[in-house]
Order: sequence, then C-alpha cells, then structure tokens
Amino acid sequence: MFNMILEAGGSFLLENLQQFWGYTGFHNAEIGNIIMIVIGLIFLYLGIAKKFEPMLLVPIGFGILIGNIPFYDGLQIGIYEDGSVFNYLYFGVVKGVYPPLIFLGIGAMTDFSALLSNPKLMLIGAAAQFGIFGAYILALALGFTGAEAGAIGIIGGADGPTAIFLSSKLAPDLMGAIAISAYSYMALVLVIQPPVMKLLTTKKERLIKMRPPRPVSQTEKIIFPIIGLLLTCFLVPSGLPLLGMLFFGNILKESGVTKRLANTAANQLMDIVTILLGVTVGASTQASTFLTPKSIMVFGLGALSFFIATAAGVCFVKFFNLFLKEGNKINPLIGNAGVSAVPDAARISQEVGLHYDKSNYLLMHAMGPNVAGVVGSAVAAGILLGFLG
Amino acid sequence: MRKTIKIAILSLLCTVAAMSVQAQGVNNVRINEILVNNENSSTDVFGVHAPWMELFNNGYERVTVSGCYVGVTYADGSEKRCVIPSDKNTTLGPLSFLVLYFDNPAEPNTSRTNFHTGLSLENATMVKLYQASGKDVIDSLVLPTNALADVSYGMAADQEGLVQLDYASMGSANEVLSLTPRHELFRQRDPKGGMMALVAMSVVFSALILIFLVLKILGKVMIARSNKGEEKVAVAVEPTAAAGNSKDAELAAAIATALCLYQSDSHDKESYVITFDPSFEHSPWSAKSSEMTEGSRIK
Repeated sequence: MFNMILEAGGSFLLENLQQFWGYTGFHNAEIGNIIMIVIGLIFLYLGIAKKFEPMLLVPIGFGILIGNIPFYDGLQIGIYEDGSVFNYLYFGVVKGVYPPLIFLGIGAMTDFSALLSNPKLMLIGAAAQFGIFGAYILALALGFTGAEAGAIGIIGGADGPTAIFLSSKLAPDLMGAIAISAYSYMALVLVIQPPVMKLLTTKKERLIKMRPPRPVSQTEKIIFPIIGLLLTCFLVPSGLPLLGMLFFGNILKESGVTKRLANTAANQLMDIVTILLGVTVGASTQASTFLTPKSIMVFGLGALSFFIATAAGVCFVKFFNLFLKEGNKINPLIGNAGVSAVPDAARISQEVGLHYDKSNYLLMHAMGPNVAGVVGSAVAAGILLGFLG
Repeated sequence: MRKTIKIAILSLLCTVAAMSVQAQGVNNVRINEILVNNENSSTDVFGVHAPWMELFNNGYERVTVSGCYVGVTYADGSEKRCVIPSDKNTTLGPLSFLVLYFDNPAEPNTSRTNFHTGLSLENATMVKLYQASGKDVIDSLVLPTNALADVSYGMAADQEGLVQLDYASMGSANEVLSLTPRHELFRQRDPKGGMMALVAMSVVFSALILIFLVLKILGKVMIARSNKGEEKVAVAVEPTAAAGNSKDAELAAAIATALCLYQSDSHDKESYVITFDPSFEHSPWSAKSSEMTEGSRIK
C-alpha cells in the first residue's frame, strides 16, 4: 500500500518536474539566445569597464539580456506579446514617443553658443549628412526596399533617437538592428573617426588655429530656437516631432524664466526616457528577429555610413577653406564633428588636434558642427519620412 | 534707388518662381478614376447617383485646380467645357483627391455646387483636364466603350492605361495603387537613390544655409548693438577721467575691493552651543485640549 502511494506520488512529482523543466529557460534556450546574451554581456562590459557611452550601453546591454531569456509563448511576458509589461513600455518606441522626449532633453542641455558665434560651422553639420544618403544608396544596391534603405541610412546621422524614430516608422522589423548599430558606432567613434581624419588631412591643415569664438548675448540664444524651429519646420514639416521638441527644450533653457522645466527636461525626464528607451530597444533584439543576414548587412552599412559621414565632413571643411581668407580658415579636424554623436565627436576633434599641437584647443569650435549635426540629421530624417513614409 | 531696384527685381524673381512652381504643381494632377454609369453606386450630397471623376495630385506640393477646365468630347466630335470654380476645396494637398460630378442637366433634383460640372457623360468618348489657359491639356482619359453599371475605371500603378477596378474608391487611392507602398513607388522612379540623395542633401543644405544667413545677420546686429552700448558707457565715463579724478577713482576701487574682501571673509561667530527657546505662549498647536486622542499624551 505504502509502496503504491510512493509510486503514485513519485510519478506525479516526476511529471510536475518534467513540466517545470519545460517552462525553464534552460529547456527553451536556443543557440541564438546564447549568442544574443553574449552580445548583451559585451555591451555591459563596454559600458561598465570601458565606460563607452555607459548611459546607453548599460540599459541596452541589460535589455538584450532581458529580451533573450528563453521562454515558451503565451506567458504574456515577452516584449512582442500583447498585454505584457514590456509590450506596454515598448509602445513608446513603436509609436515614436520616446525619441522626441529625448530631443526635448537634448535641447534643454545643449548650448548653441559655439554655433551662434560662428554660424558658418552650421554647413559642416549639413555636409556630414552625406553619410545618411551614401548608406541609402548602398542599401538600395544591396536589395533593401526603399523604406528599409532610408531607415538604415539614418545610422549615418549618428543620432540614436533619430535612428529609432525613423526606423520605427519606416522599417519596424529592422529597428532593433538599426538602434543597436547606431549606438554601437556612436560608442566607437573614437575608433572609427581618427584614422579617417588623419588620412584626409595634411599636417599643415591639422595645425590651423581658429579664432576664439565671440561672446554670445542672451538675446541671440533666445532667438535661435525660435528661428531654428520656424526655418527648419517650414521647410521640412515631417521633422516636426524631433525638431519641435529640440528647439522647445532649448528655449526652456535659454529663456531664463523656466529653469525648473529645463532642469526637469534635461535631468529627470531625460533619465526616465533614456532608461525606458534603452531597456526596451535592447529587449526588442530577440534572437529570432535579430540574428538574420539583414541585421549583419545593417551593421556593415552602418559602419560605412559613419566612415562616409566623417570623410564628408572633413572634405567639406577643406573645400570650404578654399573660399576663406587666411586667419578665418577652419581646422578640418572639426569636420568629423558634423555627425551628431554629441559630444564624443567634438571630443575626438579636440584630442586629435592636441596630438599635433598641444596648444590647439578645438573643443569649442567642434561643438558648433556637432550641434548643427543634430539639427541636420533631424532634418534629413524628416525628408526621408516625407518621401518614403 | 539702387536698393529699390534690387528689391523690385527680387520680388519679380520670387513671383516668377512662385508662378512656375504653381504651374508645375498643376501638371502633377491626374484623372485617377471615373465612374461613367452610376446606377446604384455612391451618391452625391443630394442623394443623386451621378457619374463622377476623381482627380489625384501626384505631387508633394499643394495645388489649386480652380480656373482649370474640364472638357468632355462626345461621339459626334463636339466638346463641352466647364471651368472649375474658385473654392477652398479645389486646392489639393500632396497626394490627395478631388471628386467632380457629371450631372445630367435634365435631372430635376440636382443642385449646382462647386463640384458639379453640369456636363453629361452620355455618349461621351473622352474626358480632358485643361490648364487655366484653356489650351494645354494636363491629362485626358478615353472612356471605356459600354462601361458597366456601377463599375469604376482608373489608373493602376503597375499597369498601362485605364483598368477596371475591383470596386469604386471615390476620394481614396485605387485598390491596385494602394497595394504598392509609397516607398516602393519612389524606388521604382529612383532605383539607384541618386535623385533622393541629391534632393535631400539640397534640402538639408538649404535649411542650414537659411539658419546660417539669419544667424549671421543676427550676429552682426548684436555686435553693432553691443558696440553702441560700449561707446555710450565710454562717453559717460570720459568726463570724470578727463577732469583728472583718476586717483579718486583708483582710491574708490581700492576701498570697494577691500570692503568686498572683508565681507567675504567675515562670518558670524558661532557659540557651538545648541539652545532651544521654549515658548509658553498659548497656541492651538500646543494646546493639550486640542489633541485628537487621549492616549497620545505622555504622562
């Protein structure tokens, strides 16, 4: 009798254990999940140990871990499952809610003085957008659809929120790969840009000393976001969500009467949205949707777009210098800063400049094209959305 | 005088440019769909089953078709025309539609509105859309012989000429058109992407050049203003200096600096003894009788 009970209980227990084993991640794990978890760990390593863009790479890296925990469907826990918590959080990415909020924070943090004191630096920000359209042409040649090519091209703008915003509208399937690619290359600008800058400049050009920027009045700083908004959005209305919020954030900062709002936009709100954006974008890279040949091509094209953008910025400065008088010339080492990647791209200009002349500080000059790149990439995104959306 | 001439030339150029853009815009309008034999299909606002024609603005700019002509050619070779009147609704936004009805003038219930041409499609062989000049044809459509009742005919993106559509889609994209996404249509027109790159870079540069110009002007104005301010200050200060009071000024500056340094160095002396100032004044905040619970009293 006791043996019978023991046998029945034992089989019941075994069945339940087997069922439980079926639930676990160990049972459901596939090689793709393991690869993605390794990628997530690399992101965390780069963010924590190497301090490459930790504010982005840590949430994204951890998001990749979250998104690649294996489970069987129907538990309403996955990011792509209706009704799950992550699905609700992901809504802000899919519908393009988070990127404009990030732009609000960027606007509230950005000081456009460098640009206002030397407005011609704005044109470098425009030239660097060649990276976007170079990648667009290459993506079309590789057989991507028009919308996919546009979404891939925007990686060259080196602006994470813009890339997420545009890819969520044009190619939602590629959004994870595009976002990861954009943020990875932004974190790696230190590796990508200097060789291109050195290759395309002569020693004499690298030693050019630029005139110190003039002081900018508060009135100019207040007028700039108003003019910027009106001129860019009248020309490219589809860029309104990004540009509108960018300039709105900036006027909160510069008006001087809304310090609390500017602080909230630049700190608390920015932090909250960065957390949500980073973790959900990371979690959206589930192995089944992410590990595809298309993603690998996206990574390749993303790298190329960064090279093209950097080269275009540097070459444009060299071309521009042909028309400038001696004393007004621009150091081509700030050409790389035309890609957004604020402020890392400007820091690279400074570091490379100091490498050749210990007294040549280019940071403030490079901030001009750097912030112009933010505006330029948002305008380019608006154009792509207008034509292809 | 020269300035006036410059402004006049600039205005003239702007007007010509605006006119050419407008003319270019009208050429983007196409006759997209037509329903010749309307027996039981959609009705107009008056509940009449009138034949209709759909115009489609194929471009990315707003165009107005008011002033243009709709012409109908009949089997006997004659042609009747009707001008599209001026109305806010006859302005088409980018990639948008406008429906024009072909009323039978003998129909008693039909009222005339801006969208009713007053022309009949009975025995008609062709429909044309003319420019406001009345000479140049923007688009034309040869009507199908023996058009089926309640069946519309229209243009399909990937097919040549007029095709019979699955269902009438008045005021919206034809069914076949809607199957081809916009980015794919764009790709078909610009397979290499060179055109897009050129146009988009031009727009990016235009936007940033515009900002650059405005900022440059703004900067100049600001510099001029600050220079003016400095001059005023210099003028106000000059007489004192000229009067030989520079020693007094230096003395005042030295005293001010000393005072500033003294004040920044001086602090309140702290006794380092923490004291309480007990107040025995009656207040509802401290009144025991006002406490909510008995038990909270410390005995």
